[in-house]
Amino acid sequence: MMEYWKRSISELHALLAEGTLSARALTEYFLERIGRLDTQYGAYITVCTEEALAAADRADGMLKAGKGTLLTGIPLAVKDNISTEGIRTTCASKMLADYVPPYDATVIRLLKEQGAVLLGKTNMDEFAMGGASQTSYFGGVKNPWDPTRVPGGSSGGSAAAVAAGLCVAALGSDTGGSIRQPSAFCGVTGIKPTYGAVSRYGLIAFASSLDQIGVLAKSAADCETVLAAIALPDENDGSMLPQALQLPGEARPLSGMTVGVPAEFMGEGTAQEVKDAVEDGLSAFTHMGARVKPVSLPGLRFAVSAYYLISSAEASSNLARYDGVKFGYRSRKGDTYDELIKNTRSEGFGTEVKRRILLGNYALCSGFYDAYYGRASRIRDQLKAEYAGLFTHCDLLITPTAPTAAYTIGAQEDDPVRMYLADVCTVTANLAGLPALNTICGYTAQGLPVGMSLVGRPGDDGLLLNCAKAFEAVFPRREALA
Amino acid sequence: MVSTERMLHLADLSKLHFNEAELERLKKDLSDIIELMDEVQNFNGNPNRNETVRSFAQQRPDTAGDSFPREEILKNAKGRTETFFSVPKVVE
Repeated sequence: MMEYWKRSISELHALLAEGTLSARALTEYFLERIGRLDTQYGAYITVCTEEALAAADRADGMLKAGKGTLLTGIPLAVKDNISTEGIRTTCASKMLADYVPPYDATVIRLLKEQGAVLLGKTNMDEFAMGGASQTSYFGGVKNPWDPTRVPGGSSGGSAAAVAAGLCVAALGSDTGGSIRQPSAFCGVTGIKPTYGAVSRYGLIAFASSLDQIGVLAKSAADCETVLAAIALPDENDGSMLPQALQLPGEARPLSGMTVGVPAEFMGEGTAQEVKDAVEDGLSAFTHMGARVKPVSLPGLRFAVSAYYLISSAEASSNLARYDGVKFGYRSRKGDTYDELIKNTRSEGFGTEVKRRILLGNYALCSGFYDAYYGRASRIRDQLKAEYAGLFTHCDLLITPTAPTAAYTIGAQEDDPVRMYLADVCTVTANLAGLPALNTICGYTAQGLPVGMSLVGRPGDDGLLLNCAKAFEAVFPRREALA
Repeated sequence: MVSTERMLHLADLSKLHFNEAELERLKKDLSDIIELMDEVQNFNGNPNRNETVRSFAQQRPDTAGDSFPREEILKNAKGRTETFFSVPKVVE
């Protein structure tokens, strides 16, 4: 049998378009893999067998009628914080364990219009708060490279599903690194687009000034294909950019490009084998003609604190809607309205979500607002200014995606401060609204993948994808599974 | 260390409650987290805030459109009476 899970979207599209493979057969192939392999990884919360097969039949109709696009009949997975009409959308929380949205998120509508097949909803950290995908109400996710290790988070289910060949590509969301870090840990490519490039209508909100929907796939080329289908204007999201992204981006040779490497990302906190792999990646850019130079982002030292203050403040407001009245979990206890709400939230949210809500309310409390939220906002301005300065003389920046490779399950998830500090490499792109892409640049002595991030100016998503495609053409990527 | 009094105030603002053991654990967690957050007190950059929230790039005409069918919306409610969401008595 052909190993379809190792094929790119364009290869699968060619087989579907010429009729040697049907969308139904391809969908059945992936459903069989999920049934056989996902008990080991826990990548999916919900598998949509019936809906997927029906979508595959519709895709076959489109292909036969000559109306197929690159995504017609391609089986995809979607993070379980993106609303899907008629399919439960849980955010990996007890709070939404049986919530069935009455509408599709815009990104889902756009993928359906292309004839893509939704295989299921992927596991994640509860409400996307975490970096290990271990806080899910439905159980933690395991890394296909080594099931004793975390897949990263919060889009860990999407990353594991791509790495284990349980879908062709997946949607994730990224508020502080939740696409890029799991992509690095699971050895795949992932892009967080420019803030405002992809509609968030139907994305269950965590921190609205930071959240972005993006793509995880086996390659930058596949990421580009999916991103091009979803990065379209939407009047239901007022925070979108006035102009759609240009994809594919302008074809520019790497020779003559300037790549900045902010020294602060390569300091003591970053593991030596991560630094070595990123250096190897930078050498490849040099060999392809780019000019690599050290630069500085001094505001990085404040970034984790500013990120957690802002994102938690926004989360405390966004999650105020979970009161047990209109949808979601409802406690059986509570004789008064106030008691009902408190019992519902206390029973429905997990510990990390409660920590973030408490922190957010602390940061916004009267008497503390200026000292915490206010300062964090000024740090955000400073970081934006520092990035703008770097982009006057750099075309893109390269940093490690995470300070370490995937770590052992249970090693640090119970220590919130340690978990938060591990986000240092990714949070600034969200604070500044920049596009950022993870690609794999090496492997540790234990054979675990190491990721590096390409960060660009707002709107330069196409440029990042082109640079990553050039790099991936010369980098020997390994598969998690034989 | 965050005081018990402050924790109870934050819990009330957050519409959460905790038993004694949870409260002690979260007090420690939150104290550690706030120690990390206190790094922002060392920031001596521009004291004037710029506009960090981007103005809405696009606005659409404010016209009434179709809403969702009532039955569809009520399907997700745990408490309903006829065509209403039901909650414990609020007014005596």
